[in-house]
Amino acid sequence: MQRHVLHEVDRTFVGLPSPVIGRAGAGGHPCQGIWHVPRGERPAVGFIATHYNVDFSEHYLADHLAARGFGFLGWNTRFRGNERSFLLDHAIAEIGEGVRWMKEEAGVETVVLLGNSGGGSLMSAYHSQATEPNIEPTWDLPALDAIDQLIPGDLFVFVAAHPGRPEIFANWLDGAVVDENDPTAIDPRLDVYNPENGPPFSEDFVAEVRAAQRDRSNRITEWCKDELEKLAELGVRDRLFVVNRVWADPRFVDPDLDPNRRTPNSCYLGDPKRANGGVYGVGLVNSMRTWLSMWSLTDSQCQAAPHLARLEIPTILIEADADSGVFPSDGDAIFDAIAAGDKTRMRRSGDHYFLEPAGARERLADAIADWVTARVDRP
Amino acid sequence: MTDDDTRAYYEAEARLRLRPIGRAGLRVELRQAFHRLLRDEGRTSVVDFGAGPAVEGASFTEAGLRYVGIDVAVGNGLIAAEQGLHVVPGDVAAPPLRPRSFDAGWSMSVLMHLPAAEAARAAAALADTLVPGAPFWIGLWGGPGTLHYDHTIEGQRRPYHQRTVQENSELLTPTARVEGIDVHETGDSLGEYQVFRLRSLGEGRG
Repeated sequence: MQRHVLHEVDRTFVGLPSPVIGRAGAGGHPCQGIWHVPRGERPAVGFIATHYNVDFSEHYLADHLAARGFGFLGWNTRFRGNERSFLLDHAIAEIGEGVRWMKEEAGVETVVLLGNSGGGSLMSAYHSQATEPNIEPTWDLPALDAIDQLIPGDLFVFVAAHPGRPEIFANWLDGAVVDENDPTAIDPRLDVYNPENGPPFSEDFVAEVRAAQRDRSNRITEWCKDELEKLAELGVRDRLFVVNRVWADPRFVDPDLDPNRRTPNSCYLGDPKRANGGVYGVGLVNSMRTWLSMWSLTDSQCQAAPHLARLEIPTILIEADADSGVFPSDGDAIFDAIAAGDKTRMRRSGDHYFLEPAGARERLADAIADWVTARVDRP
Repeated sequence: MTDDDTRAYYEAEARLRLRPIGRAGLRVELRQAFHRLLRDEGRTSVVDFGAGPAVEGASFTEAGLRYVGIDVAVGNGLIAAEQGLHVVPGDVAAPPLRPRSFDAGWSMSVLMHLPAAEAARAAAALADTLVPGAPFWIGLWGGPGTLHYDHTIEGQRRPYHQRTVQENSELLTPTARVEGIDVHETGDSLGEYQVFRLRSLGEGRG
């Protein structure tokens, strides 16, 4: 039974110049998205969702929330499909264009920031910068004026959100890698896919793997810094590099670690061992500056905690109980770090994308609509 | 107060001894998780609101906890006594229990049988029986704001007030700090099963 009046949905393409690079010579707008609204209406409450690199213009919640009476801007920065060039301050400036468009052109009065999956830390970084500027340019790049006057959100909805990019990547990286240039060079003692190590994995093994993952991440960071300095001396600005074997979180393999209802031995690409030896995934190709901006444990401002500490608007964290990439301890870390007094934590049946069980997305949209409505209609 | 239909339904259920002990599934997972929490926090007593014939009482006593249930049906107290478990006859909205006398609370599949105001009163009453900062979990079937009746026992009926998570949150928030809400889609015709992980207000452990 449906408790919300469901509207037909109108969709409008929105293209805007980037405040950093303007408009492409061929005419394309670097900032693009789709504005979803209930047919014939001009909603006063609008969601905006953006990811580091995934196309969110047709986000799975867009139609459902528009059908329930809200505006929804599925919004892409110029880094959509271009993860290797990502720079946080630039992305935030381009998210800011979307928020400004909602307020100034679409008539939105209440902006709801939707942080889904990796977008959770990105949207919280946006809000953090909008309320208390803190984002620094990467390495030697100039500061951006465009991130000094951002419009903050009024409400925040996390859905199946990861912690920050550096934390998640350090947890996923294969700590067994001993040579970054050779995906076959690994230490079998630290290989989560070596049956001699488990599962089940011992506490000591997991601790060793975690330490090795952090060491690997930090080695890459130090290499990037050294390389940038060397390149600069030679008149070269940056270069791309490959990170092999990025699907090796012990939790992918051992369902008793940080347990939830996930399918054992699975990741977002299916079999994690197969994914770990493949060429699909996050963080595989990066510029040096992108590594420092997005993935580095020591330099990236994509870490979640500092931004969550500035998140004082009403916030709901919704987790999926069968998520194979966001684990209960991730939810603990996010929820505990959110500064808001009005914060709600909800765990719902579903996989990371709420593809299952049947109807999960509709009921997720109902729950979000109820939560938002309760905060918009009342003082 | 619990309505006459519901009271009569549960007396009939006790008379017919229909209430099963759950040995698998969501309810058992919840109970195990709650036991872990109580163990980690060193809790020693638990009150079970709407205990029925104490089908879950043994799991608490076996975990070393002092257990007291309260149930609207006198018959359920008699069945519980046969197992050496203590279930007091009474209304969950006006329980015959001293304030601050337990350090954990449990109420599963009870409050959806009460209309909103009564459910809020019962939750507040449960919180009152707990020491400050005590964990208490409330589970109930929920959904899109409908009322229907269960006629499983011939000649009897009990109401199901299915409320949304938001509606139930608003009933419970004045009496507790909400630590988390779990919404389980069971595929059951009853809708979704909502579990509110709560903590009584005031200074205390936890």
